Amino acid sequence: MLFNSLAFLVFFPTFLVAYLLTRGALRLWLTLLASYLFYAWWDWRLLPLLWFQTGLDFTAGHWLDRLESPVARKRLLIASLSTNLLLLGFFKYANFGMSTMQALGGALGFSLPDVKLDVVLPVGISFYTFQSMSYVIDVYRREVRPEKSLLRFATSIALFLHLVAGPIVRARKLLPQLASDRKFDAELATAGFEQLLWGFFKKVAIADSLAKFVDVHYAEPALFDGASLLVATWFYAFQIYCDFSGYTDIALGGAKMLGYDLGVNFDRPYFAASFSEFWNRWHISLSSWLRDYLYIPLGGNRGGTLATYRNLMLTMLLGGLWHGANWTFVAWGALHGLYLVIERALGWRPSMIIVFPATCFAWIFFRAETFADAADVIHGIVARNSWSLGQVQNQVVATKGALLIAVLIAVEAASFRPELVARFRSAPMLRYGAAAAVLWAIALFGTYSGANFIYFQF
Amino acid sequence: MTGLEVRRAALRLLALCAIALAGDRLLARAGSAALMSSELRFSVATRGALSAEVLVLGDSRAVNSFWTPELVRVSGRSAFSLAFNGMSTLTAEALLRDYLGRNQAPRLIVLEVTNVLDNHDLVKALACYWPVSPSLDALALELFPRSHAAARVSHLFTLNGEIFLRGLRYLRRSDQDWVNRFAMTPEILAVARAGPPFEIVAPDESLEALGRIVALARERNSEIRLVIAPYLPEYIAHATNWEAFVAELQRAAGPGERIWDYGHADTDSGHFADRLHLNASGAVPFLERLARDGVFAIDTLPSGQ
Repeated sequence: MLFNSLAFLVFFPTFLVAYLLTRGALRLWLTLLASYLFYAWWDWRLLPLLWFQTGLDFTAGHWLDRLESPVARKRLLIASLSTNLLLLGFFKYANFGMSTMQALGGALGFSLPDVKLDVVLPVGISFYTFQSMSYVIDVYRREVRPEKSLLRFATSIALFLHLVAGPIVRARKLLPQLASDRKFDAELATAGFEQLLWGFFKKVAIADSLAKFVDVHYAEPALFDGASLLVATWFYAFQIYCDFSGYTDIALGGAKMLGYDLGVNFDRPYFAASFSEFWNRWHISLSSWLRDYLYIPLGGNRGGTLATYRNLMLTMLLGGLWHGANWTFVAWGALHGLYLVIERALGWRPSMIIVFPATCFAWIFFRAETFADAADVIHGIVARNSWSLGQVQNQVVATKGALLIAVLIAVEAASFRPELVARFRSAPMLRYGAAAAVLWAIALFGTYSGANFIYFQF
Repeated sequence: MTGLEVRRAALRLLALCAIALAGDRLLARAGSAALMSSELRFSVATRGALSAEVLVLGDSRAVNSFWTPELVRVSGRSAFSLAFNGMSTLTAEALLRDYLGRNQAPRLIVLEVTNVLDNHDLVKALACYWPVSPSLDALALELFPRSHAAARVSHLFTLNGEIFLRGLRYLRRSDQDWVNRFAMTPEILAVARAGPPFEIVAPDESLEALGRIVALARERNSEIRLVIAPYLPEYIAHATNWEAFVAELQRAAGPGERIWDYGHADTDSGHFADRLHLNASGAVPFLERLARDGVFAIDTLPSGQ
């Protein structure tokens, strides 16, 4: 079920009413079953995989707590992590691995058969696998006590608001909140509703409007002038931001309406003045996951300069690969790794004027389906550019996109001023007006094609 | 306490719904008023009382091929273009019916006839005109019932899209001089040359609509010319069923109407903006050729005489 679907518009209010009318274990059962229904809306055959991983890591957590021998504990941890990664690898990377092997074999003069497995990528597998793995690692490190209730653990993994596209909520954050009934708080629910509306605006009005322009340009870059391709690339930067942070806002806002705090996943990333700051603001739950469970275990910055650079590059390469089974994602990760290494090597804080264009350049590889497409876009921007906005095609759509981006930037810039935020929060009429304005903007500028969220594919 | 909190939240939600609904109506009314006063072709046609001798219909190929100021110059007749990007034959039929309901019937209708498409999204994009265009409204109800229902819930929803924005852009100036001024790039030419063979498919419903347009023109004593504007030769060379496609159009139009096929008539790639569209420097010689060939000649008397 998509957040931006009619089904969800019926599902969520119905669930909310039922949620408010129930208590204790019944409420947890309701939440769990509703979450499985939400997931099964795509394909019910994917549920057993989710159940298996939930059961596996719940059991692993218990055994890790009971075992005393460090060797046995480590073996169990490795067994749990390997199983999770094997499942993720099989469903997400099997075909990618085989096609890479075939290409490599071809380059070395061997002829390998072109084998393709007919595997459906389970929606959200990257997100719930990472969430589940972090629980097992935390229990292994004895940072988290193992959850005694399978119902609670399963609900923490499957909660529909974060199940398919994050945020990746750590067990230590969510499990305690599921331990007791959340009291309904009108102020929190109102704030949650406002965040949910803003998320819908970002997704339906901004991201999907920009997608129309971007998709046409990236489908056949050779047909467009450099100025058009440059605008399409800028637009993509905002499309993916509004798509993913819009999803997150709907998830976090919906969670607040239920009384849960799932944290922050985006913090106005395009205002970042350095690449490390960008990664502290973009997809925070993933970047902190990679930091805590990959970068630091690799040695972090404790092994000297070269080891730090190696760890940064490895983390970003794997972060890129996490996003999708394609070398273009790896290239995107490599570019960001390189940015971070250069920044660290020079001891330099580059400023927004450098960070944003460099981020856009990396997005070209993220958006393009092949390196040839990415090269076409870059060649078009550099070689076919009259540097005149007059060459931009479909200027009405481009102007609408630019105006919507301007609104986004204005709102985000205003949110850096605490006195403005406080004044807004203490003025009920202003809040009503703003919420109504967002609804009007959704009606006026929204795209209702039921477009998927970009991060679902990851 | 929780019950009180829930009631408080429910009241807030109700208040928001009331504000949102009232604002929706007010803003939509203001937006519609602005749109109707616009010089955008659909607004001008909806206001009525036009008496153009030549009416142009079709999709973006018609917009660019029948560049209105040049059409007026070469034909010596007043002209109005109702053509628009993505206008299928089915959409053109509905728009023509609404046009004829409000304006004087033109003496000549020129239809760029390759718009026998199966994409009718323009009907949805024209939602802002549904309340004032009965034929378009009926077509929208048939093709997009959910959007039609949504338009009743939110009136602002009808202003959602490019058409409203274009309406605002043309508040004080005519849109009749639209033409593509882009030139072919070597890359586009290379893509067109390397393109795979393709088949042009004309769905039955569009061919039937074409027949109805011809009948409607006759009914209103307007002459009609069914014209195929030039394609980029490097592109159209890959069409595997060109003759069959033209024959299909001919069958749909009926024995009394000729298909004026200029699909391969222009071999100068400098006359094209891309593989489908003539640019300004291609539209001029094309229109001059049409005038020489008698496409704009009118035999019937002006309507009302």
